[in-house]
Amino acid sequence: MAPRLPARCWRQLQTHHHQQSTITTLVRPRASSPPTTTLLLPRTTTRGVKYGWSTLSPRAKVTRFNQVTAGLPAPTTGPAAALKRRERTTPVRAGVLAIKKGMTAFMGKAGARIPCTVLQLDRVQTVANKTRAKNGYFAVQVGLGEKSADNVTAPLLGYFEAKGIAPKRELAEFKVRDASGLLPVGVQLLPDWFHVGQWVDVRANSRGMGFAGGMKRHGFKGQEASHGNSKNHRTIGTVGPSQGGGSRVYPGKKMPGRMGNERVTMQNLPVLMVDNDLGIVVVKGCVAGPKGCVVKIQDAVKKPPPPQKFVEHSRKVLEERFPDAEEVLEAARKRHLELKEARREGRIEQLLAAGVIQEAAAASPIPGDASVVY
Amino acid sequence: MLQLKSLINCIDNSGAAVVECIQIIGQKKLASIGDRIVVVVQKQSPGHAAGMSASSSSGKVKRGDMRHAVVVRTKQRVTRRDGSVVRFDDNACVLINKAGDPVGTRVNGIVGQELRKRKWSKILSMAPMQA
Amino acid sequence: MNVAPLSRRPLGCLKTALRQSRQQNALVCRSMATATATSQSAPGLARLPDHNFYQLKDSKTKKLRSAFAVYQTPMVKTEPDPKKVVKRLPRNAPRVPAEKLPGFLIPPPDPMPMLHATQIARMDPTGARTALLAKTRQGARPGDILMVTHRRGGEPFSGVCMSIRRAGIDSAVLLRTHLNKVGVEMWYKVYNKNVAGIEIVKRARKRARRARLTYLRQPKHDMGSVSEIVAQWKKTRKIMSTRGGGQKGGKGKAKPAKK
Repeated sequence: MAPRLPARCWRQLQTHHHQQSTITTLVRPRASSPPTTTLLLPRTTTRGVKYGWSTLSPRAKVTRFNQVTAGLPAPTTGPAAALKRRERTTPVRAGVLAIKKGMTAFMGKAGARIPCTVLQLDRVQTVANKTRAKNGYFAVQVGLGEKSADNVTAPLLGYFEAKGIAPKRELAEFKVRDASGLLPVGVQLLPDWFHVGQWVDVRANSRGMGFAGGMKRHGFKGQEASHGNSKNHRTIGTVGPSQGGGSRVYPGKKMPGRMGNERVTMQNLPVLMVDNDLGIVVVKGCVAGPKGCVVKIQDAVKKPPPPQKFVEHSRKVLEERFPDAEEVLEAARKRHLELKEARREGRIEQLLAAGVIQEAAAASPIPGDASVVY
Repeated sequence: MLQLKSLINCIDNSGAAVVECIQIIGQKKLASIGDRIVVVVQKQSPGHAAGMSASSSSGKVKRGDMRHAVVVRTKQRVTRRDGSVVRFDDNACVLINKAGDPVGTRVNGIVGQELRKRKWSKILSMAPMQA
Repeated sequence: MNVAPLSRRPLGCLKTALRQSRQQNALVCRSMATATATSQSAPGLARLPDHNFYQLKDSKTKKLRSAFAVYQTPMVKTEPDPKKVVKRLPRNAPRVPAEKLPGFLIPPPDPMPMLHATQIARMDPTGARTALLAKTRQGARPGDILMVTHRRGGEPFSGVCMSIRRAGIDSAVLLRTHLNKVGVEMWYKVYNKNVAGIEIVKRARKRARRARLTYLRQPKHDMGSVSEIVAQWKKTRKIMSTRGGGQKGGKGKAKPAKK
């Protein structure tokens, strides 16, 4: 790995890079960054992905001596090594969010009954891309459904405004192996993102059981019904040894508490059916959680990934359906910056009253009164 | 759902009427149709009990005998591959010897179809009906 | 999408804003000029999806604090009714012309009935099984005696219908009878291929006043074996079919019994 320098030092490079890159255009060059010299390293230590993860003072950094070029093996720790380690278990493609609609069965021609779960993709859109350069990993942020603007906070409204998409009900990130897994922002992912017969991992939060005792929650035996037992039939009993064990309760001791409502992953579920019209993906078997819960579907980690041909095909279909996704994103961002500036300067009201309305009317394909849009 | 201490009807002519489960063969907690279990004869069938002193051949087992058996009916529902479910009104078994051959020569009641899948063809051929 | 808050918004605010803007004409012109200039420089601006402005107002003074553009999920414009939920596009090629907004498929809120319908159409093209499950006079009811014939031969199973589980493609009937003096209950999936046909042997004399006749398990109410009734019905059916000539056997078809 190349020597990690604080981001300030290569900011000039970064800005140049982002202008030509299309996928990573999310990274906006900071116009208002203080003028820094590349030669003088800052004295203060700032930790974070932008500045490098080390808390060491940049002057005291010794990594420049421990490079591969110095004949040393590549480090086995650190972000790069971690990414490399997880490469095999990170899916190639992004996943989707869906809503569990319930269970049913498929009846086979030979008479077999296959229980299955119906998952619906409701207006699933890509919202953002996370990149190694900016965020330290590759991921696609995906949104599901739609939400009334009443229930969205102002910061998020601004976020969606910048993306040019409607506020989403749910947002989730799907880690992908490398930059080739990133997707154009704002495109809709339909059920044909998966193909029948492939394996997927489905994650969801299980049904919450509320506060449960040790017997129900962890399968403890409970205590005797008789033999002098007094009012302690379902209690957990002792929670640890006496003096010899340190006279304390060990961390992680199983005890009564909230049961359920935790992430459950069903691995390697075969996809039985995909239907764009109904917006459904049907997977074999059961998925945790009640009807209406949000689930994450992604290519199975423990099975071979979908064939390269299909990966390319699904990608191509996506680009054909939304050929101008990047332009829309760019336009939305420009508009967002204008509006942001207006908000900051307090002239949003005037803008609303006059300029924006006319502009919106011009932008909308329905020719109509400005007040309609407004 | 048969387990230790379950009392099961014996529906062959081995001489046992009611047997008690003392063990399930295989790493199982509960026995279902087609599972092999170890039983103790608790009650002999009346005909055999009377004629036991006269002829030892009619009653092959007697009270207190420990035998192997195959579960052929359960009250617990058993789901099949096509989604159909069968449930009987009682739990019943057929005694077998260690080699897996039935002790009796006749089976008097209906047995579950799961026996076919579990390769208990001798018991199936002896049974008057299967469901 | 954001129609409700906009409709609730008093128009007075808008009026004031308009008046203000008229007074501050010069400023507005300047801001407009910059806006149009940028929009012209951005080639894709015209393709932005529809949006309205969500306004944040001060709770006390009711003055506009801030506003955000809230975009709408672009849908195919050919749909005249915006309230219609199902948006349909050609399955394989929703190729959108460049000047048109990309169409978003909005799925129906409940896909289960449609999924069931397609499955049932596949498994039961004649509709006989669906008719059996229907809550009409022709359909089966708890208390009726039904006979299920299997595809792989074997003895047909007849019994009193204890309950009917209507769950689309997964619908099933629970039958109870006595075989060799042992009570046997069977759930049969109506739409399964292993079930060749279900026939109503005998209707209940009186309509059962329960949906699930679990009381039939009690010795007091147990109907015992239905084999005699079925045998009798088979005999009469044979006579009728020979007299009628062209009547086919019940195999592969579920049809109501002749009274």
